[in-house]
Amino acid sequence: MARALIVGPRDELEHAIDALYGLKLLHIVDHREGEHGLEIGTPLREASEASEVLVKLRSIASVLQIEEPRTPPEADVSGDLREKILSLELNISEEDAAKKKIQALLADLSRRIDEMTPFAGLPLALGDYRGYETLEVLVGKTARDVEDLESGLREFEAFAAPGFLALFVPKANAQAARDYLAQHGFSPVAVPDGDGEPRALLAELTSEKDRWATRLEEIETRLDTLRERYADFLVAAKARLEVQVEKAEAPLRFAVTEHSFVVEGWVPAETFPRLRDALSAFPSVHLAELETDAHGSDPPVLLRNARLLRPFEMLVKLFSTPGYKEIDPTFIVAIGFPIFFGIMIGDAGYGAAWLGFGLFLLRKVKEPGAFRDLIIAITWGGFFALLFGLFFFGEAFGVPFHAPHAAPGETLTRAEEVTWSLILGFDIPLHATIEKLHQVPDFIVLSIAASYVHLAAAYTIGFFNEVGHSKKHAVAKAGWLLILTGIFVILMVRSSRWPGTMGYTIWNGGLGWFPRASTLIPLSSQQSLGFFPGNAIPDVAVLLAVGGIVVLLATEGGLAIMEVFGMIANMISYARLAAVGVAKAAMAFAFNVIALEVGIFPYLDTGDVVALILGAVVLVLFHLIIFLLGAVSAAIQSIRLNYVEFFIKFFKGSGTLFRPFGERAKPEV
Amino acid sequence: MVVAESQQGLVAMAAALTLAGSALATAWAEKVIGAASVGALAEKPELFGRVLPLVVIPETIVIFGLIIAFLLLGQLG
Repeated sequence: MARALIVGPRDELEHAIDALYGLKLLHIVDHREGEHGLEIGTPLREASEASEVLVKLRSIASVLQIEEPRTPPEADVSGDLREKILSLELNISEEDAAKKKIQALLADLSRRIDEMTPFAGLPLALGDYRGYETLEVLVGKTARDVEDLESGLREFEAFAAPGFLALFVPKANAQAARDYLAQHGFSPVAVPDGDGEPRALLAELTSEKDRWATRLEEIETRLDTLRERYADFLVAAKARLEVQVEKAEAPLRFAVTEHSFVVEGWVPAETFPRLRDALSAFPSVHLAELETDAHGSDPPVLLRNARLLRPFEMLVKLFSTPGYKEIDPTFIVAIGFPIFFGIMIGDAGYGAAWLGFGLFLLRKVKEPGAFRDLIIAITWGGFFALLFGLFFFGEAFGVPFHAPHAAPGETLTRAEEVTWSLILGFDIPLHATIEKLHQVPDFIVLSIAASYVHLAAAYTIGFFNEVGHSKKHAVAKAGWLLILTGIFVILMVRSSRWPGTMGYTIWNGGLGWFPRASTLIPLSSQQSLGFFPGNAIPDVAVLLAVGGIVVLLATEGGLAIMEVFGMIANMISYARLAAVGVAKAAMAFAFNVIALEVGIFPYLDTGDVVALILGAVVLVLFHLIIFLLGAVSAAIQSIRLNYVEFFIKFFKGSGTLFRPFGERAKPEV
Repeated sequence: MVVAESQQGLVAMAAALTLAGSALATAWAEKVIGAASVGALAEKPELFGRVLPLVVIPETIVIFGLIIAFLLLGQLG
């Protein structure tokens, strides 16, 4: 970013604003009133009028419930907008007022109809319910019919309709009657005002309501017509007015003197010449590049990633915009998020389903934005889930490709024995490296390995972030990396005890080059921790960890040592990859067994087609649940690993996003 | 070290208790944080990105429980 300073005479202000707005290159730094002895500018003449019309326009748009498409429609918005919009507002505000009045009236009528309806069931006029000196009238709803009034009350006359009761009792007995009725679920109702037959009154009210409802419909039709006619115009006019207002109010962000104006802002360094060329059209406007102070200034940030990675910027920005001097971590998130998602789903069936569903959604959601970015991220996740499901976990929809190794003495039910090789009738050439339900410890070891790669990337980025800033902090990051490596190696050695396990594969495969000599820690004390000769703690790992701790002590002080435990906790935290993966696989397996045993196999033998279809529907529903639930938890946990374990190691954020003058603001997340 | 057969039930119970306890702890912690976060979000929706990690931080507790449970189950041989 280069800091640009533009100075010119006030007569050129309007032209300069137009030019800058059209260029979309300059991120304006707002001038503060009184800074350097300069005042802020005043808005251009048309500002107040344009914003007034804009307010009216927004109110019209809200009355007409016009939804704004992302791309402004083509409509003729030339000429005097003010006149058009004011006359339209007059028209619409009348209709809107009438509509609101009728709506209030209708609500009132509905309430009165509700009150009147129960009285229409009784053969009494409204006047009959009041005006007695010696009688009390109890009217109300009854939860159940009160049949044995005779047994509970003396001296009364009752009129009853289903769920409704009017009771006339002498005043002296009123309290007793009230108590008795209360016990039978009676809730009193007020008698509506007025006189006359409730039935006739009800009919009158209903017809009045119908009349007003018709009026309301008419008004709504008229508003609909207006909406159809003016929607495009209003949206386009709004866009034009917003531009006008933004331009007209721009001087508020500038510094001015009596005869000149000053604009300061940031321009991406490589586009600076373009700005210079464009402004050379105004001979009296001068552009200068200011020197920037490496520490004091805070330039905005323009994230630049390959097209493929760009959707993942959303995940980073959701946390915080990277600072100007930080490495944008998008590229690691773009790899880490879908891979973690893929490991947690780890099922060819769900992976293919999410890949397909994501691609389908992408065809539907064309507007760029956070939602589309999220879909892209999940689609990539689905792709990796498919890969992991096919080549690593060997299962689809919770059904393994091949029969798992049953524990000795275990007998499997028919549903538990189902495999894809059995269903498809040929031997699938892909074998599971980890059978999720049977090799959980292996899965956890894999997760720890993933934690090493991810956290090592975090410390490496942290190192490069700090190196230009503070050598001491950079060295500390390197120390962390040493400790991480040492602990990781020790964990792998400990888990590599038996051949065929994941730990064994990693220790003797990927880490086969690691020096294995073990002399520093006596074997006897190692053995109590589960290490044994031939598989002992390597000296180099111990030296790495201790060396890292020494580096930490020298750079960050003693308190940082406590953080080492935090780092180990972070490594274990990656076991959620295994936890979510296994939980999802176990759910799918359980649902499969239930559906197959109860809904499919019994009818497969009897040949009951209807029951079979029903069973299949249940099976599909079950899988739909896992499809959604699994993806929600996998996505959240994957984001969490990036935000908590990964970002906290190095990411400071709180940068400002580069927003050039002239770019219409897009709604962010 | 493989546990005697008569004691294996106890080991399994210990594993179950570990997971239950850590899951309860996670739930309780998330309840408190979640309620506070929703309060914060109601005032400033743009904090979502900051709040989400805070809400899911306690999830690690149950993961620890899971690991310990598996280490215990490993004792069953």
